Amino acid sequence: MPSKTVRGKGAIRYEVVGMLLRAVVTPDQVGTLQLLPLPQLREALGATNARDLVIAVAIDQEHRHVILYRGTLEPLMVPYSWFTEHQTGARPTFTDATIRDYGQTVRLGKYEASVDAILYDWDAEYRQRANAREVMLDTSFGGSIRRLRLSRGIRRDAIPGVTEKAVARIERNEVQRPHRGTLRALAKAFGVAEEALGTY
Amino acid sequence: MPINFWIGTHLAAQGWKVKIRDRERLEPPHVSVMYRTATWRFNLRTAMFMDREPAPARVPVELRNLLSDLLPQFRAAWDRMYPDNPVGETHAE
Repeated sequence: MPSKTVRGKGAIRYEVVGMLLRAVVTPDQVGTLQLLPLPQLREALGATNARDLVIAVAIDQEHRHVILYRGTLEPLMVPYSWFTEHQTGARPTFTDATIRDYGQTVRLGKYEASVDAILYDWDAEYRQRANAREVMLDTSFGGSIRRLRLSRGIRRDAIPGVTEKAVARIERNEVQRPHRGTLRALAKAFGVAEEALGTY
Repeated sequence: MPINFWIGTHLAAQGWKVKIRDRERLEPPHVSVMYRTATWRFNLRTAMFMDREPAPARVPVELRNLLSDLLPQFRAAWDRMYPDNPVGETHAE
């Protein structure tokens, strides 16, 4: 914990937050717990969007999860597999996890992930709010399918059980009610629940 | 590695950052304009801010002008980072 550089009342507040978080992580994870630096932590905790910021990170090596603590101290577990290796060669280093940018970036070695992207994928309530904020968002079912497909890096012709043409028609909202089997195949390909397909 | 764009010492000293990280929401392609606990997503296809909140008016005019000027650089950087979801791909593909 980088608290050695913090003095005075700030240090006390910092330690209190650290103690609170240490109380909710397992002994194995305590050593990996990293908080935001104090000035950023103070601002993140007091921000109106505190719930959408991450103030600490810990690593669960046994279950291969990154544990993120939001500004409301709620934990969020994200599997290692979500932090995909980047096409440029950047890959996450889970033993070197820190929080940057006032709680808006998770840094794993030299690899950075946007907290917005994490919450969008792992918190349905955040996703709903984020979509409501967006200007000119295509809120149709087809728009959601297209965003999901592109966010997963999947080509239209690479979804088992659904033809490329069918995917294109669904994305253009030319299909009023896709078959149940098609929905099941899309959900499986994107790794989401069938009922959540239209929420992205 | 993330890309941090050079926005000049004045804006950087105030705490502004413009970056593309290794894991972003991919659609639509964008850069993140960051200031302390706030982020504005700037759409690289439309060259417009994507979200109603926080209000784009909070971004200094100097930086808004810079975003327009640097658009080709942003687009090239995005396409290098995310070749499977390039800026040029349109909804009507």
